[in-house]
Amino acid sequence: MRGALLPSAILLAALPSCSSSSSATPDPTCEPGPNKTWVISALSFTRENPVGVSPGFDLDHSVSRTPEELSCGKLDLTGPDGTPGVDNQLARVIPLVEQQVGNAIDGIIQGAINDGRLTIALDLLNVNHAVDDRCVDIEVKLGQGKPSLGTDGTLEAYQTYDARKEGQLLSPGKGGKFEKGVFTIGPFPLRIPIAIFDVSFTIFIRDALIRFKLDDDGNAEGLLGGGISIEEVADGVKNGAGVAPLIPQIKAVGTLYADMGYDPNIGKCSLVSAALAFKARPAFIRR
Amino acid sequence: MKSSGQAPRGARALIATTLFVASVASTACKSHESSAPAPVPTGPVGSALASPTGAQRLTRSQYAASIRDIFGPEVVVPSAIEPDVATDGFESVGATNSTVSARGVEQYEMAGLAIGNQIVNDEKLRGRILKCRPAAFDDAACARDVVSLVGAKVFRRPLTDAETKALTDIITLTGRSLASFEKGLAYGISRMLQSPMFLYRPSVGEPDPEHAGQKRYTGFELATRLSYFLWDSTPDDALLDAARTGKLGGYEGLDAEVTRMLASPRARDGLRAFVRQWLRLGELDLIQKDSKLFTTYTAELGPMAREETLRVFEDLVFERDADVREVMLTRRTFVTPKLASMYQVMAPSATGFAPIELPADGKRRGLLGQVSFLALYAHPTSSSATLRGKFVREKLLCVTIPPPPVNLNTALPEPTDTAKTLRERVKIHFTNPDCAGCHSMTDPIGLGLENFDGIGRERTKENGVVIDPTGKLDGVDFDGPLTLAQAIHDHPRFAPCITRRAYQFATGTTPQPLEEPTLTALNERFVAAGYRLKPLLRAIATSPAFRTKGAPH
Repeated sequence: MRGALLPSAILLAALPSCSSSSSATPDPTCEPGPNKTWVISALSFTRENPVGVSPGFDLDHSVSRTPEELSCGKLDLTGPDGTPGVDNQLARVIPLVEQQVGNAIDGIIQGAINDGRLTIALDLLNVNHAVDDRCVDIEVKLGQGKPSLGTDGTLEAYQTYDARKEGQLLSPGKGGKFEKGVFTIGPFPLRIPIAIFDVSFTIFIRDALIRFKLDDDGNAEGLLGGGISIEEVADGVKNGAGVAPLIPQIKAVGTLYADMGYDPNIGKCSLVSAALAFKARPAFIRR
Repeated sequence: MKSSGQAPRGARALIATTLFVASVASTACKSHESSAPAPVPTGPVGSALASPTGAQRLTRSQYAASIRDIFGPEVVVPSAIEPDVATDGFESVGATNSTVSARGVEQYEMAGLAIGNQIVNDEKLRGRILKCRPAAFDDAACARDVVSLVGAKVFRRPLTDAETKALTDIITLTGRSLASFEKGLAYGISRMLQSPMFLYRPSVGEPDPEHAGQKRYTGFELATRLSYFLWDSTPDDALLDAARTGKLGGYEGLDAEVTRMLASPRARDGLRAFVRQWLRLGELDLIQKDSKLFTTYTAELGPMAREETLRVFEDLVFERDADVREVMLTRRTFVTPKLASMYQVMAPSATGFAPIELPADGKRRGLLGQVSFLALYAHPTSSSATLRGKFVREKLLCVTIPPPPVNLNTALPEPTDTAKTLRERVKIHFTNPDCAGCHSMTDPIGLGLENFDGIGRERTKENGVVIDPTGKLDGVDFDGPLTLAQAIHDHPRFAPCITRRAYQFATGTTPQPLEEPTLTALNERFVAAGYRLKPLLRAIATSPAFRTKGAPH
């Protein structure tokens, strides 16, 4: 991983903008359009399987095949489809964490989604055509309300959720697009408050990217990635019952696998690249 | 050149057509705000010829509603009582010719005793019927007071002296034996509730002074007949008073009572019973769906969907007093959050039912877009063009579709690479002469609804192939569910079928040829009243045929 966190302003400036006045011919897809919402119905950490292969994003737009200083010596992975340059060190961290806390992490997250404690809504703005549309913005929100589950144990589609009053709008993102039915957006700063059991904290994902594809029924499936500070996560969970003794180990693992946020003054990385797989159902959010 | 001051015949026809189209369009585009209803013609409709009838047994819903209205809403009515039997699609018709099984007799006995015990053991309930203070376990005077008060409500007429004595004796003898007046009273109530005079609606009749040689229902029999038709429950005191004073014997008095009854909130129960039976919505409690294929179908969805349909009818008939054919086209419906998710619209409320307008650009509209119909007339694993088409033919257009020949394998072939859609798979129905006669009447209609799957979710593809919902209904082309609904709404058999079904429900009989002129006249009244249901129900309830006790002719 060569680059440190790129300044968001530079990245955003480089992306197509709906409000750009420099465009000679206005893009018809940038006309105001309806909002469409998806609520995440399944969220799981991706794993490295087999060795060197994992889903994820090329967050730094670079392929690190040999140890490099800016990525603190971490080698990139390869995507399942052979795409090189995947930055997803968390895929290597998760198995280590699971050795400490058991293989229940994904199950805990799924339980929180299913009982309405973790309702993450991807609210896409100005969607005129959910196949090809170059001007779609995003607001990631938290919803609330007990969801209805189907007989397959997952959230049913097209449910209506109330926007959670506190921190309703987590993260606005600009410059997303649908291209051949695949939506991509980012990088943008993404903050997701988590409240599971007795732990409550906010995951801050730097330079977040979201990519998903829609099926015939309108369901989304994709990836959410970016840089995560393990230090922050450790601080966030430290007050959870029985967690305190594990904090030093978590921080140590975070330091060991950090590959982003290189600080030349101390010669260390502070962030771990991450990618989470998700499925999302079309839904409605009461605004 | 002769000038008559009139447009040429062709032009007149054109003008007339234009005006007609404009009036139809204006009706179709009418907003939900109530407009002035068409003036309702009055007067008795049709002849005094009626099908022969027998004593109708109370349906389960009538039994429960009667207990509620006699003793109070707090009484829990046991659910284990003799099931209803539908004949010609209606429990009300089945109630005329079904008997009670031995098991059913036991169930009525147990239910009667359970209800009696609830009443005497609850101070509030007991206070409603026990106005005297019993001086002894076998206080005959007090028992007689209760019997007179309750018996008239339970039997829907004053009791004879012999009936009063028999019931009083049960209370006093049992009270003495069990050393408790209240326990005796429980047995007395139980005895009344097991009586044929309660469980059945006797129809002995009396000579009809206006039609020599014919019989009409007595005042109390007619009151009962009106009450179970319009309220699906027992007569109230005012109706029994009207019967006792002879008010129901003439058209004016009868019409006044019917008008009062239709204005009562209880008339909604009557409408609900009619719609539930007509559309077979009771079966929504029993349908099963493959939980792997239809992951969003849960046990509560069937009753919920039924409630949606009933509310739509209630809204049309009582809130808006609108053209009831609008049930085919309306975008207005009532949904819970669960139903809203099925319809892919934002839930208007976090809990319970609330009204919404379905999207103007959607495929879903009216009865044919409701989960109740779409899920009920489908298979556990798929939609069904045949069941849905048969529903439209039989329930909405009153065309009888005969059952398939015995020994005929009615299973459809499974989807294959060359036949992925239902339209492709049912082709066999049109090529096999054993099938084509009936299926050519049903399947094209059902295929027009293939944009809805076996539980009523909207879809555009089946097994990856874009669905073709086009077809033709009796010469009228349609290109999907919306235009199919319009074709049914405009079909010349639709309004007469509503009339026929309402008459069938009201009389508890399958109309005979001698009643056809009455049905025609009732339908004319229905049309003249702007296809509003309340005037039709009023016309049926006050028709000579409804008042006549039919005899074999």
